Amino acid sequence: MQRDQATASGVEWLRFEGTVDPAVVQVALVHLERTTFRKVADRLAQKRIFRVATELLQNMLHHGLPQGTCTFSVHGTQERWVLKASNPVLPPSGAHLTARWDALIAEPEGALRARERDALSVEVRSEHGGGGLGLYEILRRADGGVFYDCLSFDNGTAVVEFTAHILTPHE
Amino acid sequence: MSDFRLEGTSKTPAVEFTLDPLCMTLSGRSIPENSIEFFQPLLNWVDAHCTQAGKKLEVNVRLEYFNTSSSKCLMDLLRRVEASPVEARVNWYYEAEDEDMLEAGEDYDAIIELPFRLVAV
Repeated sequence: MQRDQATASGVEWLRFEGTVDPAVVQVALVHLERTTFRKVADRLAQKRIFRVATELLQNMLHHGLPQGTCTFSVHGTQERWVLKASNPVLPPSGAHLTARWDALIAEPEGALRARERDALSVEVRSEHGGGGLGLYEILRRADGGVFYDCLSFDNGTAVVEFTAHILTPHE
Repeated sequence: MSDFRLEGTSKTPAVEFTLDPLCMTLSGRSIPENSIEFFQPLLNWVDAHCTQAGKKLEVNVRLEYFNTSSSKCLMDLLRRVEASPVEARVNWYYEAEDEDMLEAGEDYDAIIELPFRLVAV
């Protein structure tokens, strides 16, 4: 795990590449929380960065292929924080996620909160306790500034990638 | 079972469930990888102790962060209280500048048929 690298267009506060386990998630979140506490003046933005990071990292942990190489990075510029996460999945999982993503971004602006509330109110849930709420949370906390891609490879895997932009300067 | 207490950690909330007065308080953060496992004893406590019709119960939620898996489990917990015979009230505390946590409280309030008080701190 690499931390605090200055780049031409800002500072890369965190970069990880490898297999993800709960300890990696915890180290990343602790580092990120300390960094945003020092570098983000706005409390709500601090919390949104942490919330989006939590969902991205736990998604990687729960849905990524075991032993697959995941990447996670956090970059701060003068106007935004950019969180990027990618992990390999089986192609059917990638296709399912892509279909869900396409449906979500087709929702009219402002409808996501109602959809998330609907998803919260039903009893359906995953093995880890969630119920498909993570995508709503990432989209809403990043105020829609989320980009998704899914690439399929000949070796029978696919890689999903999320990039979330949170508009707030780092100091 | 009697009072139920757990210290908070970097991933799980502090829990203080007491019988006298009948009160349930969750505070800190709830971002465990497996929320179902963490919340199960809390649900069991409600089943065991929220049994007396009309008894007053105060539910205090003072969470700084919770992941989406915890949000479902928190819903289960509130639903369990809602289905019990006790007369419960929920106090949902949020940081004044944290509009996300305020919205979350409003959403629970809209779904759960219990009196909700949203309290900015």
